Amino acid sequence: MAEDLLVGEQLTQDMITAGEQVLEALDKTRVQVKAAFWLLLADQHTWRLVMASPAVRTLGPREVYRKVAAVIKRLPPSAQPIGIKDITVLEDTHELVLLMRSFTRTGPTISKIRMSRNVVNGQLIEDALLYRVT
Amino acid sequence: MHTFDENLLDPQQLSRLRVRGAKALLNAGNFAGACYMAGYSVEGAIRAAIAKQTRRHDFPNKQLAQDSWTHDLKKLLQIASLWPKFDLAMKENSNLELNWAIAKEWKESSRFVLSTSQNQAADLYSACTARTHGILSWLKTYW
Repeated sequence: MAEDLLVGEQLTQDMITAGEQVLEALDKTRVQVKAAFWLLLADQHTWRLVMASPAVRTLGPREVYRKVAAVIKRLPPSAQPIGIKDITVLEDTHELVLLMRSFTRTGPTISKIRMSRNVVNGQLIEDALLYRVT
Repeated sequence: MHTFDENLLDPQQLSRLRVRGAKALLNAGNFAGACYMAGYSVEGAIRAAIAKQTRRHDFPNKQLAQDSWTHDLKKLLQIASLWPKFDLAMKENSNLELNWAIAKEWKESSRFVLSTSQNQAADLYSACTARTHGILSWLKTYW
């Protein structure tokens, strides 16, 4: 398998493509992804792929990470895999997801909405790329 | 009433105390509390590794001491100079990587997340304490 994607301070085209591939692959499973986005963790100088699903509550985060890891493993060899250390799974009712939801709703498709230095409900979102917020 | 100062316990003792606390809270159905304690046990273990790198009569490095007062587990691993080794270990061990994926989300404020489910608490507890591939088990070789 290819080396894990390098995730750093810049959101690269490779990261955007890789995130989209993971989301597309998860959509073919029973894991219902209600929100998915890249988020800049400014204090840690890195980006994180956030996936929100009700399965985090019902199955627990371990099972959801396991399913995400399995999906990544099955991606075609041409895809650059994201390490699960660069992914966060959250409940779809998590405050971060609610915050994104108050900013926009994309519907169940896959979009690419960049939000840089936006203040949402008094909270600064330094940088993010939204694939889906439902 | 008998009281004790937590600062007088060494970080290893404190870490073990937190594990027992997490288990008790998990069994009692206090899931937010269990998460708080489980994460703290990892924090204590990393601090123990940092403390081990300090010699008895060393004059404290002010920057290191100040930086060490973070609750960010990755930052603590970096301060302990353990992150490159840990990152390599994760590449070689998918179970450790899975456990870190869960544990990395821990925040000191987790005790206030009252909606924490049993699954979430049990997963974090096992990610930290699993005998073979748990975070603490890896850290114990360095404390």
